[in-house]
Amino acid sequence: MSLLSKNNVVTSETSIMDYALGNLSPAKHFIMACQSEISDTVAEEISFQEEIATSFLGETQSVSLSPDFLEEVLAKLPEGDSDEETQAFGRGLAPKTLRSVLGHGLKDLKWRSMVPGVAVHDVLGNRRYEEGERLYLLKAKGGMKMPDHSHKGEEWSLILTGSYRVGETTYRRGDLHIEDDTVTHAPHIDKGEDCICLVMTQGPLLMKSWIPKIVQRIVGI
Amino acid sequence: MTLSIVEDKISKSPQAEGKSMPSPKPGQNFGRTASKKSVGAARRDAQWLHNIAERKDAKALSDLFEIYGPKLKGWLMARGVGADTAEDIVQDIMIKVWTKAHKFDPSKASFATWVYRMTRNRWIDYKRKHGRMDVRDPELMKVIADDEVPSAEHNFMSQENSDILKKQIARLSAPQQTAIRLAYMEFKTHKEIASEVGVPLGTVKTRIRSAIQVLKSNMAREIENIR
Repeated sequence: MSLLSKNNVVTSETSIMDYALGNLSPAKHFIMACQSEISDTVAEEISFQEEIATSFLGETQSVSLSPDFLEEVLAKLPEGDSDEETQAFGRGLAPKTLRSVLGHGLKDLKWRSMVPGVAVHDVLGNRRYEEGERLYLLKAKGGMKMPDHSHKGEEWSLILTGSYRVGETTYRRGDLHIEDDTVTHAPHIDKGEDCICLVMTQGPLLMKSWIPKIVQRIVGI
Repeated sequence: MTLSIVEDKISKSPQAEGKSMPSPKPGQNFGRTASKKSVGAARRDAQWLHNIAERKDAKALSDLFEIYGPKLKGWLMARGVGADTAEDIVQDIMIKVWTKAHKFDPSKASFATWVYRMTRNRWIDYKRKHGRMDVRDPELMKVIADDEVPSAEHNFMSQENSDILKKQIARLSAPQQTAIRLAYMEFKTHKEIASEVGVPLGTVKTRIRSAIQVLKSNMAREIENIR
């Protein structure tokens, strides 16, 4: 997987293209939508690729609509305009896409404590599922070291506040950190601000030591 | 995994005056150029959108989807969606256009791009509903599927530039065109493209990356020339 940094935002070139084309899973699509709100450069890159995709739409083989299709839809048209997406849910560090789902910003979130210093909030998916993707917010206190873990599949993490280090690399707000199942890592949260990330995991994390394993059974993740 | 820094060559969106948009014929290949016809098509679309927004003109909506409906249905079916579901999605998009036409600004985006984004996002919604994911919040997909007209600063090109893009795609090298075409039209993954074309995965990635870079820098130059 290639990662590149644009205007100091770490992103994934392949994921940008897959987002524009509609190739991503819902959780990944959601994360890319959020990153594009934080990074103008990512948004512009996506826009450019959407324009290419649109120009190819013109070449797609047309398939005729059913004979009564248009007439039937016209009969169902609602009255009035829709302004549903303009609900702002205030301003803050959470991208609008995320705020709209939560119904509020990050500061009003109800966190579920995992271990001292670490809390989670589900956004989409069930963390207790053996398989499948789950999307959640994770908050870790500044200065703490997360437990060593690997994954069954990929882990995508979009940093919303604070920062953390993995080896030589520091991930900050707007960065998208992708790891696959070949990596065991233990992010070290930088001192100071709490680090809040929007995280997508595929299946439960695989903890290296027994204490997090027990905690994991209790709280999920 | 490597971390590489690349130069950011993306330009800001220019303000468009005259509009053009893609209106190629089915099966038409690369090498299309901007035509009076496509410029006219974009203005016609913008006029229909205006009539929907201002006068709730149902005939305008019907005319728009007589043109775009079969394309969108074709795109969805190419993604593996059944004919009935594809029509359900097109119906949803049609209703969205009806209720949100007042948000459409032809100086910021083409109708084609707007409707493409909506269809793609609705398709993601479809994948979620038929996947294993739980619906934690029924509002979620309303958000994912709710596409605002993109803001000007996030929109690299406006309507008048889509024909320039087509011209630039036609100028790419044959291997680049093939890679771009397989990715964008046949939705092949980089790996599938590598196997189909018979080249290493890294070569496919390089071709696509370089094609996009060439398109971007040539687009930026052409737009600069126009200005």
